Amino acid sequence: MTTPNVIPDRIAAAMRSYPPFSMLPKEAVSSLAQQARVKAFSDGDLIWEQGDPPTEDVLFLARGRVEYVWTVDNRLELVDVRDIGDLLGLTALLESAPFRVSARVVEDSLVYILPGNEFKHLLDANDTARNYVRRHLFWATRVGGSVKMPGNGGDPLEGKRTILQAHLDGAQVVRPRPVERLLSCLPDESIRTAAKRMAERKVSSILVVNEQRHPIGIVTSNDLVRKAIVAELDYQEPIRKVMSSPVYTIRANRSATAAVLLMLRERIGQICITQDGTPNSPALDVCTHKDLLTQSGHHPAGLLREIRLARSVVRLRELCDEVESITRSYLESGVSAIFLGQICAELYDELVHRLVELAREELLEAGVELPEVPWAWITVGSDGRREQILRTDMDNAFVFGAGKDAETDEANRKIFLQLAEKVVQGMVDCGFSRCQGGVMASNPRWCRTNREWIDEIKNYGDAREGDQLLRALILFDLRYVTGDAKICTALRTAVFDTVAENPQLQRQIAEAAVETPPPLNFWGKFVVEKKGGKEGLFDIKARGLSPLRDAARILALKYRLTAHYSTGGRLEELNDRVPQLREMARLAYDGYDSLLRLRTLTGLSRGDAGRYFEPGSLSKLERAHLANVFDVQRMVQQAVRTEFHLESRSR
Amino acid sequence: MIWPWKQPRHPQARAYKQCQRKAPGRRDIAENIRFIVLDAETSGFDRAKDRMLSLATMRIEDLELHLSDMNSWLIYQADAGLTEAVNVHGILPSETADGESEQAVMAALLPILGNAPVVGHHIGFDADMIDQAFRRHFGIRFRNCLVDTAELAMRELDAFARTGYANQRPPTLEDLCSHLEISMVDRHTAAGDTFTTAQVFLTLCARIQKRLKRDLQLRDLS
Repeated sequence: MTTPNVIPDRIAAAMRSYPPFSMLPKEAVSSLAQQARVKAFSDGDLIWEQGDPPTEDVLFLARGRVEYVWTVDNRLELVDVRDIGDLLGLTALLESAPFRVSARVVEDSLVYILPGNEFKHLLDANDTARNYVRRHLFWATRVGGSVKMPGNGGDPLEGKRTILQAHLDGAQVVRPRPVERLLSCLPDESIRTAAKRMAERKVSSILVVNEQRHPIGIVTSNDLVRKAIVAELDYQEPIRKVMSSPVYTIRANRSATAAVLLMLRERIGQICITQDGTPNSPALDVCTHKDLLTQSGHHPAGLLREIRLARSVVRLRELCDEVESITRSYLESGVSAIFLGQICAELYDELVHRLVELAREELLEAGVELPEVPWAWITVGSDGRREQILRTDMDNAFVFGAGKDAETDEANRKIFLQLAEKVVQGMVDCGFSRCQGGVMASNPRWCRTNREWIDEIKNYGDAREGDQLLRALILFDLRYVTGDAKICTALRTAVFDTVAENPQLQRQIAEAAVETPPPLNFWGKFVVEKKGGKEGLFDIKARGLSPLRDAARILALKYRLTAHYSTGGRLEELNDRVPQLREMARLAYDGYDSLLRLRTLTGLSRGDAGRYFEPGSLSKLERAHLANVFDVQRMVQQAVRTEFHLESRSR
Repeated sequence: MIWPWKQPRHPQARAYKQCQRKAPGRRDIAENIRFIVLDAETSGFDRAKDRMLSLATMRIEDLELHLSDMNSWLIYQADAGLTEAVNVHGILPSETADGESEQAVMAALLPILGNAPVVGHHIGFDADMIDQAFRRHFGIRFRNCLVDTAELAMRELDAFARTGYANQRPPTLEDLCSHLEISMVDRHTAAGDTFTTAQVFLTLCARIQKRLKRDLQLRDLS
């Protein structure tokens, strides 16, 4: 008896600890391993050379380290590093194009040669693995090409497809409301009776049914206008003359998103729910577009509406939790984190707006009326940049119009502080935490009149102290949330004016932006925290996100890019408006996006701010990708140095 | 030509002996040679008394290890006793009852080996065991060219270079693996050790080739 061959299973098990193999079915990986070949390379060997024709294989690096080197203008340029667990040769395989870079072995390596075609089929059949691989073909952009996965269109389309997918995954089912709600009439009733009923119930359509309540047609107010009023039909005529038929029907408990899609495709505004889904059974309910969208739950628009309607903080808390679950499904399906930040900012703005309203009502009940001065709730820091995807700590401030004298201001401040304290408490109940640094509207230091604020901003010119500069930086990201927009706009203009007039301040901020070097040491390994309680962890906020964010901010201030608040938006605007920084802005945008995504996913999986993570927990591909991002960071900082002439002083 | 009275009776043995006559030459290029990596677990270390309990082979062609082409056998030994070696590989003599007879396994092994150079760690011992079995069953000798990874490592890796010290022992498979950073799978099973040895062999080949700066030839290995 020959004993079964266990070695491929062992190899499959080892491969399955690395993505994308971890996302593929077990049997499929075993089958790949079954056909694998093992090859060894020594330090200095070339696995393939730039321009070599593509092979049928894809290589899994089981041991060692390989560098991708690009020869351009007779220069060698290191493009990417692959180490244990990485895939080699995927790009050439997917594109069936010659290798764009040479693969040079820098440490003795063992590779498993896997059958490329079978791997490609597996990717086609497996969405998560394909998305993963697609994201990690990032390096290719650096040699002047972007990699597209076969079968998918361009990037923007892909984004839409995955959003849709996220919707389908999280979509709720269509639930008919109580049947008494259904407005219907018989086909022979007059147009006038039908119209009267519609007006009484304030609905925009009426269902025409037969005696068994089977739907035979539908009349919308639009039909009435076009077919009865404009056509000058007698209002005593039977309703069946103006009805649209047949009626599109669906069964209860079908996916709401699918129903919306059906309506979009058929260009109809209403859909009828019947008992068995055909027109030959009793009608249960008529749904419009809007009904379905709010029912499809996982839709931001639906949530926005819910927040607007919420009457209690408890309900708001529930909605916030739901926002978080949407965020997770979006992120996991590959939606841009920058884009997601914008959606979340929209939702959280609505939340604050609602909380302010509730607090005002509460104060009114207690007999406290807000003073007759314009006021605005503003948000600063990360939320101000529309980047707060997770409910981390809040950063907000308050501004109100200055009165005649200091006493009035103090009295007003007292009332506004009451309001702010209530709103802040509401936010805490919704899952945000209070800002450790006291950057909250309920803190008198952050609740000021417009005159006080502008005075402070003007004085930043002489800011020498670290604390003051920090305060200035936080304030530079201010964004209006609710209240009087004008008073806030004035503040923002003041910020931009001050910085534009003061090159010294610009320089100071720029210095802060280049202060943190990219977190790679001489050997290309991550620099981890060496002190404090976070030893061995990597601080993605301070070391990754902050430098890019600061750079985007100072560049936006310098070029007066006021249209956007977010780092992503600023970089986009920089890309559009400042040609000499276009290349940098584009790469920085991608880099920032992936860092933000990483942080948010870490945060979601651990239920904290996601600030620290263990480099060991990343896959090798992810780590190599991160190293690319930090490369971009180095480039951005260099651009800032040149832009603000910091070179002379630092060298 | 082989004299008729020297011709073995068993057909596989005859074919084996035939193809031995055109074995790869010492200056043949390694990439063009088929290698067989082999490892056997035995009931002990006495070449005369002990017997093989399990055996595994893998094929290397183009200096690539083909995972799909792997053979491993459990061998039934009626008279194998319980020895310390059982502590190492964990195959109880009773378990070999599920195995095939030694003769059947050797008959299957013959066409696999052919004239290919045989690679193994401390291959000399395994070769002796196989040689004994070949003589017992077919009346032929095991004559394939041998490549010992322990020998290769002593020649190629500074860490294991000969020191002239009398008690120096050749490196074990564990030593090599920890030095070359190869992770071991299923240690002390024939299949696992064969796979590990194959990886060690390929890594060493890559190193030697790099040092020589020319195509690797069989004489560089044995």
